[in-house]
Amino acid sequence: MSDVATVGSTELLSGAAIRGELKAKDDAALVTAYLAGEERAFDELVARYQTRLLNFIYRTIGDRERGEDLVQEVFVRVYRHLHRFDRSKKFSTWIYTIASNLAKNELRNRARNPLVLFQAIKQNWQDDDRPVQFEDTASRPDDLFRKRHLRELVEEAVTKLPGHHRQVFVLRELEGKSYEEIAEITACNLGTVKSRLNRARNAFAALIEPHLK
Amino acid sequence: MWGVGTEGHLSGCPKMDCRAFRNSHVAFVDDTLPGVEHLAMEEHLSNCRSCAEHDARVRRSLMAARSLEPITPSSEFSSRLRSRLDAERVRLSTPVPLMRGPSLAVFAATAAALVAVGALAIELQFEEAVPQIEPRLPTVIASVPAVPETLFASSSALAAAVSTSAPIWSLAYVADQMPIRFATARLEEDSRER
Repeated sequence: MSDVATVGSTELLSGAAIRGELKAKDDAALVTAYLAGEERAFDELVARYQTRLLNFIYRTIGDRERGEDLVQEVFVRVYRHLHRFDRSKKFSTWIYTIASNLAKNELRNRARNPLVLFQAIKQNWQDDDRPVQFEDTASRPDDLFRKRHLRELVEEAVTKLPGHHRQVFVLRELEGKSYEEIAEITACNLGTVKSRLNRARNAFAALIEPHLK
Repeated sequence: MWGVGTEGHLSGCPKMDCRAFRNSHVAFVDDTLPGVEHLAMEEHLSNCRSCAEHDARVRRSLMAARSLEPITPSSEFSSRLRSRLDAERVRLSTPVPLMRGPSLAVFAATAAALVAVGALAIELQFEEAVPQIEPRLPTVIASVPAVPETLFASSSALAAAVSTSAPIWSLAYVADQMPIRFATARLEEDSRER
C-alpha cells in the first residue's frame, strides 16, 4: 500500500516537474516537444494562448460566446496541422494568422447573413441594458464604476472601427504586435499596416476623447 | 522628405509641415522613428498647437485602450476544448482506407453501364460483318490507238508550207504527234513479226 502511494507520488512529482519544464520552454521548443510525442506540450500552448486569442477575437468580432467557439476552432486547427507548421517561422504569428482568418470569415458571414447580424446586435442591446451605461461618470464617485464605464466605452469605440482597421488596431494596441507581425498576420504590406493603424488611431481618438475629459 | 516648402531650421532639421507630421505620427507614438525624424517631429510639436493637441488626444485615447482588462475564457472552455481535441485525436488516429469500396448504387450503375457498352459493341461488330457488294467494272483491253491520217495526208502541204515559210503551227503539230507515231510503228512491226 505504501509502495503504491510512493509510486503515485513519484508520478505526480514527475508530472509536475515535466509541466514546470514545459512552462520554461519557448513556443518553438514546445512545438518540437509535442511533435516528439509529448502531448502535454500542446496543453501548455493552449494555456499560453487561450486568453490572448480570446481577447483578440472578441475585440475583433464583438461577441464573446462566438469568440470562445472560434478560439476552440483555432486550437483544433493547430492540433490538426501542427506537423505542417514551418518551424523556421514564429508560432505566435502562425496561430494569430489562423485566428485572424477565422475572425475575418466570421465578420464576412455576418455581413452576408442578416439573421446572424441581428442576433449579434440583439445581444449587444441586452448587454447595454445595464444602467451604468447611461449614467453620467462625473456624478459617480466610485472608481470601480467609472472604470467599468470607461471599459465599456472603449470596447464600444473599438467595435465602431471599420473591420480591417479594427483588426490592425487590436493587434497593435491590445496584443502589442510589431508592424511586421501584423503585416504577416493580416497578409498586408507594411505601408498598409501603418496607414490603417494611423486611421484607426485617429478614428478611435475621435470616438473616445469626448468621454475622457 | 517632409513635404514641399520645407525650410531650414535653427536645429538644422528641415521644418516639417502638419501633413508630414500626421503621416509619421504612428511611428512617432510607437517611438520607432530614426533620431533625426523624431527630433523634427518634436520640433513641430513645440511650434504647432493643432498637432500638439492631436498628439495628446491620440496618446490619451491609446492609454484608455491599453488599460482594457483582458477577458478570460469561461469555466467550461477547457472541458469543451478537451472533448473536441479528443474527438480530433480519434479522427486522426483512425487509418484512412487507401480506397473506399463503392456503394451498392454505384456498383449497380457501373455494372449496368458496362452491360450497355458491351451490347453496343456486339451490335456494331455484327453490322460490320454484313457482306458488301462490289460494283463490277468492264474489262479493259489494250489496243493499238488509232493513228490520225493528218500527217501523211498533209505531207505535201507541209513541205509546201516549210518551203514558203508558212506559220510554224503545222510543225508543232507534227512534233506533237511523234510519240504516237513511234509507238504505232513499233506495234505494227511487232504484229508483223508475229
